[in-house]
Amino acid sequence: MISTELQESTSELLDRRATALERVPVAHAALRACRLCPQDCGVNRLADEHGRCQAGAAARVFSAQIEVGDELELIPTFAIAFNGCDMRCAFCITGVDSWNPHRGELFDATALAAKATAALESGARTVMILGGEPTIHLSDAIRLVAALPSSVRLVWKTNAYISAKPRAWLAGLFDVWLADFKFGNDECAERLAGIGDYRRHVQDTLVWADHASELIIRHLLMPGHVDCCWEPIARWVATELPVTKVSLRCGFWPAWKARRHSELQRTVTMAEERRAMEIAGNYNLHLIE
Amino acid sequence: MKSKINFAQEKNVQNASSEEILIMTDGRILTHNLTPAMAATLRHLNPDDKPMQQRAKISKEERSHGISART
Repeated sequence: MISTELQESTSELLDRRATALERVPVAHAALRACRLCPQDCGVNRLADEHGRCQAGAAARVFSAQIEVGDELELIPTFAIAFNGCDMRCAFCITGVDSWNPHRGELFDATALAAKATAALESGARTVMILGGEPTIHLSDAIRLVAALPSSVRLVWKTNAYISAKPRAWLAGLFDVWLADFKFGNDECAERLAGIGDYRRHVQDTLVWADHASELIIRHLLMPGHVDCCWEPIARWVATELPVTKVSLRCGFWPAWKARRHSELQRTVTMAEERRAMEIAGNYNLHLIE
Repeated sequence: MKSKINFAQEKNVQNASSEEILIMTDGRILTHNLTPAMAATLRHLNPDDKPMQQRAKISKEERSHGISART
């Protein structure tokens, strides 16, 4: 019985790597008219055209290291951060790297897989692929999946503001989707991150991800945005994804360009944190640390 | 509220770990890209910080299996 289960498990893992390899060419070809995110630029990144994210065809990596700051069930994780992002959050903690397509080192799947393997052998539980927003470098991210050890527990850390097609190409490749739900309304998303139609796209991604894999929804509590952002997010999750794990992060600090917005010039107060936890309790959310 | 200390190491994928911390005047410690080594250090700064204690504990357990801060 155990042997059969192992065989099935091994078969699934081999399928993941094979599936990833199959998808690399089509994901790469998508850069000819890039519509990987809802910005829907349609630029030819293979011909050095740049859309809103400014990313070219070649991915770069600005960080690859073991980290313990994420959700407890995922750490220690070997976190691999791609540069470039489709959003422009004023408070981005990695804005210097995420917004600049030339930061970091050129992507090398073999070298990164070797580092990840070494990390796993010394005790890391997971490998996390993140950004920026890794979806904008989808073909290289998938190429990395194909190069990683079969048994690794893979985490896709995303801002969830992505299009349907890349979601389909990511199906079955990751064990966990760790997805941000940053804004509770489109007005805050437009003002603080410069993007439109935010809630619809993110909610579509979250519902899809909840069916496709294990999902953890992460919300970074922002000062002054408890009632306009966190409350409607909590309400929606309670209604649509009531048993999904939710990670409420209260460690906001006024990074990058946050000081351009008066309410973001400080950290979250203890009163705001208590109020946010009260909301989570009222909606009976499945909070994790 | 003003931060007391805010530093960020130069990021170099090949040669160094990278993390950021923000220590608040009320004693709270905020972190980003928290590495095992930094978690182990910060647990001593604020022993009442339960989340940091949890992360430092996991780091310590994993270090006993061979994890180093740099990769």
